[in-house]
Amino acid sequence: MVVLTEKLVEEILLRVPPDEPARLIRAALVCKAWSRILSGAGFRRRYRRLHPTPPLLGYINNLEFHAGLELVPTTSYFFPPPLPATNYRRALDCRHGRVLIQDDDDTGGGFVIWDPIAGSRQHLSFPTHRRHNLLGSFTGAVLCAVDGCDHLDCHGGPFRVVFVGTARTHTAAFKKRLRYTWASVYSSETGAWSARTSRTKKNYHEVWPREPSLLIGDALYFPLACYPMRILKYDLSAHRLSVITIQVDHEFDRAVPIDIDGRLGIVEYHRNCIYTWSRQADVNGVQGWARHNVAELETSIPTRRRSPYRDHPDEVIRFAEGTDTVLFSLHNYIDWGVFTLDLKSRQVRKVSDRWDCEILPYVSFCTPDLAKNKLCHCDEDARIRPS
Amino acid sequence: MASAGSGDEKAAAAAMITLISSDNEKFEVTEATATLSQTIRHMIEDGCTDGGVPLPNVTSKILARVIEYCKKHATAAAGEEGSSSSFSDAAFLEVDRAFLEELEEFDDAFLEVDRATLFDLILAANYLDIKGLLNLTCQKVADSVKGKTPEQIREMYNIVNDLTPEEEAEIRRETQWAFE
Repeated sequence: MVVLTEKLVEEILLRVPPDEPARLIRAALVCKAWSRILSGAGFRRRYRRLHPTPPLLGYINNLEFHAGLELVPTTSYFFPPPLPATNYRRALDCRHGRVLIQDDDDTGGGFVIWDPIAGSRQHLSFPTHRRHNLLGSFTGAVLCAVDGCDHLDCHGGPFRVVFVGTARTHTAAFKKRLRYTWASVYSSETGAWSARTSRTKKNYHEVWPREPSLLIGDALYFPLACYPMRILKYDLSAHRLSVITIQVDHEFDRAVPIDIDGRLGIVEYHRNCIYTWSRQADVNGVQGWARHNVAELETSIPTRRRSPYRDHPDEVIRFAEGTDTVLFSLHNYIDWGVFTLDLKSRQVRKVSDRWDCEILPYVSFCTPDLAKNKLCHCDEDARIRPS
Repeated sequence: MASAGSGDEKAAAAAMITLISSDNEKFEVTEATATLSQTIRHMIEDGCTDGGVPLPNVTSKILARVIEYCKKHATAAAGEEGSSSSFSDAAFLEVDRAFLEELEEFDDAFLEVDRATLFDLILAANYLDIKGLLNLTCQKVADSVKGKTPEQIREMYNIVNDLTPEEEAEIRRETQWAFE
């Protein structure tokens, strides 16, 4: 039989689908040449060029009663080692292969940044100004700190954590309570939290710790718990907060911000249908929000018809950032599960038979060199304290 | 000048090229078929195809298959170009879809070969620089390792395991989850 050159073996290995990372990792065990190809610096780059969209490998599920969290794979080829079980931990956000976890331990609490593929964990205290406020709710976002990064090999690299908190205060007359929101950013490079942003001016509602953020370009979007729907925008370069009101004559049901071709949109799960909303000008040129029907679940998921009930209060919808996929949980009191919907092909796929409803999509490439835990040299139990 | 150039191109499109396999068999193909190969396209551009194109790395058996692939894909490409001007959008999409389906069926049938032939096709696609064929054949091999253990992959492709037990143990330890 003919022997293929290393270049041609690489051509073959480059075509292994990214949503089946274990296949590449097993291939690294075939022989020295295959192992060398897969851990070569050029492989990842070419792999990324051939597969421009990172795969949805699974989802983080926050267990009930603060019993910790777990990564549930949505492909049979991805089973990374679990996070050691600890109570009072819940995932708040997930981006660029990292999971931001709120860790309410005995020492005052903080964040854990978990990289399930590299198998690393880093601890981080909350910003100190958090204690100086009558804090209502807070949430956070994690992201790679490298400008222009394609997030293929930034595992173990510098990262930022954005803390967003809502504080309560009183007017001078102590008659009226006010809520305002502020943000602070932690940089792993400086090891410190930034000064607080100026607070939002109006009495907006609180941030939702249950709703993850969305990153588009240089801005993070956090849904606020209020009606009409409002989204808190944090501008990363200007270090500034602003609030966007989604002016539509419609009460959103389950809705989260979504990236539609680089612009802010909304994906909504309402009465068995999934819609996207995007900003559009009407016939008179007035900017408004237009709704687009994406999927009618009664036809996509036939089992849904059997139940007299349609909506479960804990059903959720999530956007898998960097992909064209939304993840949603569904429960009709007869059937339940977690599903994905491809917004382009409109295909619905059941990815889990479990009733998981506090979920965050986990999107990442996973090539053998990343999985080998070599990129992150951090001490697992090292605690990072802001200076 | 422009009209003279396009006239030349039309004449060239109908021209035939002779390909000569390693075992000296000659194959007459149209230029449209031959130029799916970047290697041959460059030879034509350099004007060195008179008297046939010798392909010392490709046997007649493999070259016949490669030509079969190129003919089909060259026809499909020409058909798509021709249809775009004479159909409405909807009709064009319909024709487009039919072409794609037919091509897919052809590709599936084309890949029904033993492993040795598949590897020969990869080598030929690489040597002749036919992107579509290289993609098709490499994807087929990549798909074939689905769900296979490293031992099974070695067996399938006659690969000798030259990893030392220590190296193997290290990779396994670092990525234990992939083997559970």
